[in-house]
Amino acid sequence: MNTSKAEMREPTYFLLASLLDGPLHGYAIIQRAAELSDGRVRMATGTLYTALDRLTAEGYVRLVSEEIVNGRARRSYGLTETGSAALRAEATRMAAAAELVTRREVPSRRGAAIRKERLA
Amino acid sequence: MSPLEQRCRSLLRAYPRWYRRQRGEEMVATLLEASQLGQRWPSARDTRALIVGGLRVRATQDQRLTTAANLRLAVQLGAALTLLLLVAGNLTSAVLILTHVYAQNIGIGYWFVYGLLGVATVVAAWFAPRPVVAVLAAAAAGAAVWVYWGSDRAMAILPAGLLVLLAVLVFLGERMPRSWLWLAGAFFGWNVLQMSAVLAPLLFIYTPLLFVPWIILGVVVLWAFVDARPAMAMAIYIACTYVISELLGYIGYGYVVSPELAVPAVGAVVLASGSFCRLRRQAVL
Repeated sequence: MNTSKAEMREPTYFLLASLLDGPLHGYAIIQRAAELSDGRVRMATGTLYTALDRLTAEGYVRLVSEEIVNGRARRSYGLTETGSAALRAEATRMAAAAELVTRREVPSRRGAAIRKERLA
Repeated sequence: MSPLEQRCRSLLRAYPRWYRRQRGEEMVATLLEASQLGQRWPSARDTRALIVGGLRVRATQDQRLTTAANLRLAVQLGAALTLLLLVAGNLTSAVLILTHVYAQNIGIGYWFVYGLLGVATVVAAWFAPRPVVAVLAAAAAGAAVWVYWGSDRAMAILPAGLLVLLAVLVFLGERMPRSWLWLAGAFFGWNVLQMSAVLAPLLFIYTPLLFVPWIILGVVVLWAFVDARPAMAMAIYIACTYVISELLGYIGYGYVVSPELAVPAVGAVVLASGSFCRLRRQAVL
């Protein structure tokens, strides 16, 4: 079956970014992703595990440890090298796209400067 | 066990047993950790995500596939459904004529062979190795041309084109999930029964059968919230059976295209656009 890469959406980006500082378990990933995105990405539990299934299958995320806490399984997930590279590539792409806009002068200021120049 | 945990566990039943065995306890732990103190019910967001997530796993919606790959699968299913409609008519007519009317009609044997090859190709698209699909599709396309070229070229070009398309898409890599077999089975069964309803003992099912395609369409549209590919396939089916076959008749023989054709044409476009939007959302998180 073809498992070609899909484009990275914001929830995927913040999920991977939440693992940059080290492995986390499910709830910690939800919290960290919300924190990093200023509350924009609030993943539901079902959505988180669907994403973890997909990212594990794609080799972006791996199961790091498994322990029993209060009688329940707690698994921690970490970034793989592939996941880390994909995250950095996406960050670079977004930074380049942002720079296109941020490096330009604000149009109204530029217009005012041109008008001033003409008057002088 | 708290009422919240009980309700979370009930919601997890949306997932298949094998998945719950693998992930269930972990998901319950996360749901409970994410809950507020004193919360008795899972949140609406969690409820929706668990139901949709569970149904997606059940539907074997492969989220690793891109929109293009999912689209190719939808086209495969659309081609398969249209082929089943076309060959079900041939097979049933051949059986009815051989058993009830003109047993001496030699040409009916070709209809039967074409029908069998068509059904075999569609079944092979799910189960058989790729070279087998290619061979069967080539044989069925040849049979379609043999049977219809002299009388109705549209009826030769349409199935032959769909058979080639199906074989090429199967060769490209993706195979249709088995969970779609019910749809193919329902289509085939409906067409066989509809053709058989001309017989006196089965006349009573003729009217109820008219509602079957609408019921299937309704189910597929609702299912699009979980997996939009069957809805896209239905749009392709509608386009092929109503629009493309009419257009081929117009090009080949100058048949007048009915203005009523606009209804299925618009329906197919609306269904295709809606399901394409859902496909794009479902391809990635």
